[in-house]
Amino acid sequence: MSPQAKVDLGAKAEAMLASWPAPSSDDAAWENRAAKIVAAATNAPRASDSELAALSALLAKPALDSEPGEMENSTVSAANARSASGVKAMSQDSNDGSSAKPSIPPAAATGGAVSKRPSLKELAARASQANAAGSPSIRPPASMPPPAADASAQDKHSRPSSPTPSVAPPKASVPPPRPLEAVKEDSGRVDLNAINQAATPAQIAAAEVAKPAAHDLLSDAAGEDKPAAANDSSDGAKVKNIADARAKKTKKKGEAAKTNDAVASAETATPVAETTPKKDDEGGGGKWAALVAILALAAGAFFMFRNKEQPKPPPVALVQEKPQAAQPAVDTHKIEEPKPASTGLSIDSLPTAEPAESAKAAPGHKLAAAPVEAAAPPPAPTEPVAPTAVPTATGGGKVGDLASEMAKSVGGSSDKPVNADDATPAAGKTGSQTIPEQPSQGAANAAVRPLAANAKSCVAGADDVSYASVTFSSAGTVSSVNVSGWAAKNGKSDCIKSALKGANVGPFAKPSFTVSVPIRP
Amino acid sequence: MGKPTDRELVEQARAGDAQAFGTLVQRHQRRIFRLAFHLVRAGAEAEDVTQETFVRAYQALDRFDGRSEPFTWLYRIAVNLSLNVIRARKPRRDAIPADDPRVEPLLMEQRTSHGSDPARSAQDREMAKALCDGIDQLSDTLRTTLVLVCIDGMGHEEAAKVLDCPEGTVAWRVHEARRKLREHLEKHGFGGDAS
Repeated sequence: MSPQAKVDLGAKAEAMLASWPAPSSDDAAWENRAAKIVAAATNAPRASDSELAALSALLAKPALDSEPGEMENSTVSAANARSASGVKAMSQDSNDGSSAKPSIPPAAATGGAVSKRPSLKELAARASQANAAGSPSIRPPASMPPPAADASAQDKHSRPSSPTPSVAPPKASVPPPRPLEAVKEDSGRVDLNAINQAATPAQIAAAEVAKPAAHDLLSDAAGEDKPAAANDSSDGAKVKNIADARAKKTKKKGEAAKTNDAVASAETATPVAETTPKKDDEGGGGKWAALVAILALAAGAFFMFRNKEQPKPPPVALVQEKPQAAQPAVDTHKIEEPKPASTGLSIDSLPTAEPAESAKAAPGHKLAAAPVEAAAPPPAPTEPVAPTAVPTATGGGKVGDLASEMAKSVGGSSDKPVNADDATPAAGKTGSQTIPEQPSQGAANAAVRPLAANAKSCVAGADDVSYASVTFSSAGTVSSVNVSGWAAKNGKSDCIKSALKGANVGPFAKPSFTVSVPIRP
Repeated sequence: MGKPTDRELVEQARAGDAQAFGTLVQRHQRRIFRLAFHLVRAGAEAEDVTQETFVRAYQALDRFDGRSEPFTWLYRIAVNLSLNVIRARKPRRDAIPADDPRVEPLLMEQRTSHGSDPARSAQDREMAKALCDGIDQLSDTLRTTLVLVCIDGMGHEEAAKVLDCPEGTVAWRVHEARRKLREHLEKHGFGGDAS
């Protein structure tokens, strides 16, 4: 946070703050008060010791508490900083300064949230419960986080910054953390062996004739090979057949078991089989799918090659109206070694370049420097090409030369001569791209300060402060000066306005920027 | 012959010249009163603070070492007296009148600058109230610094001398006070470039 970055309250609020008067009184009233004050001061009895002590307190530093966050910006000792950060004033609720935040989260510092964290004893008890449940495969490793149900209840700030385990468990073998309460009911795993053992003979028979989905896609005779029973079955039955076929290879036939459970498990285990076309009896679904896939691949390849063949347009449209002049430059880029400065403008592509001396000898031939600056891409990290090319280009407005082409490309008139003194290397001036949103307070003060002496001379002899609200236009010049206070009441506004109107803060993005300047006599 | 400087007046007053001290009072009493008025937010108390400031200064003329400008010295006394008044009043904070005495002078100033458009006056009044409310919600530290710099127009260097703290601290406090004030104004519908 930079203190110099002024917080903008809005023009109206700023003006109100800068010219906020106290209840006014006429001059006679002030003189009467002054007389009373002098009389009270001169007639006051000599101060006693206690009054002298009170007087010393009045002359001492005002007893203002340090604000949390201001320590890094001042020279107050670190001890005071710690004490101040512990005290929070009413007005500091919205303080978002990172320095004001304690380095340790409050919950962790107080230890309140630590008690929520499961202890090692608790974790060990849970692990033993998991072992007792008879499903060691789901037991979380020691390095795993606590169960999700518990973790959600924890304060994230209270987690200790424990070091990362040196050997992380492989992801594939570790199921996602689940509540241990659910271990006995549902492990989340599909035991294919159990499914195979539970398969009915009918399922096994169906599985024998079932084909993998991929086979259906590519085989013309897939539909012919299938028996009618298989064709009549639903998608679920088809999936079931796949599992049954596997079961037949490993288990004996004729074992009766729970059919419904096996079917459900099989559906869960092989969801991809659901993508098989329904109308297998026609046998053309696979063809169409293959055709569509081939067409998609072909289209993708077409677009890829098309994009490769079409070069991207150059970053700067310099010579669109005269392609024959631009073409050599593009070819040069392709043939030659890559140049360090990729400004989009090659010196070799300049058709009418002349020696630099000719440009100096003929001052009447000015260079369209502004278009160069506007059209130039961001500065290159190495030595730019533009500084060499710019002084050699001549002939304002001549068709085909660099200046006119650049002027055309940026929308300007090629016939308009531009002062060569403004010519700046493309890499050396980036002001148009780095215009600040608004001038900094320091810049505004620096612009106004030299003129403040002249303004002060306007209010010489004043007995009150005057204020000038100087409004800068986006060009950086003073657009208006609003004078208030003593100067406004005593007809010195014009003097102050004329004194301050010469300030300049440099261009900025905002439409206007107002700075309030107190002018004291 | 030009006007005597503040230092010269202090020297003369120290030598027993009551008229010189009177000139010093006349020269600075309005600014001191304005500062005290914005700090204590009450005209009568601000008058008391102003008078007390000069009386105490007169008693302490011998202690003025001349290292700083007399007006910063006076300002420090005024700030300390104002803080004493504020802290003595805090237990009965609700004794502050409902009509903020700071609003009317501000509205008169706005009318002088922009004319007397009723709609605009109503908007100005609301904004003035919001400003007063936002300033009052600041801590004593931020409010005192804001009043010195943004309302009184004192520079950071001078405010640092009055408050006896680094200029960076003054700048930070002003920034922080303005940030809080902007938040308050935005909350009351005067955010951004309110006009």
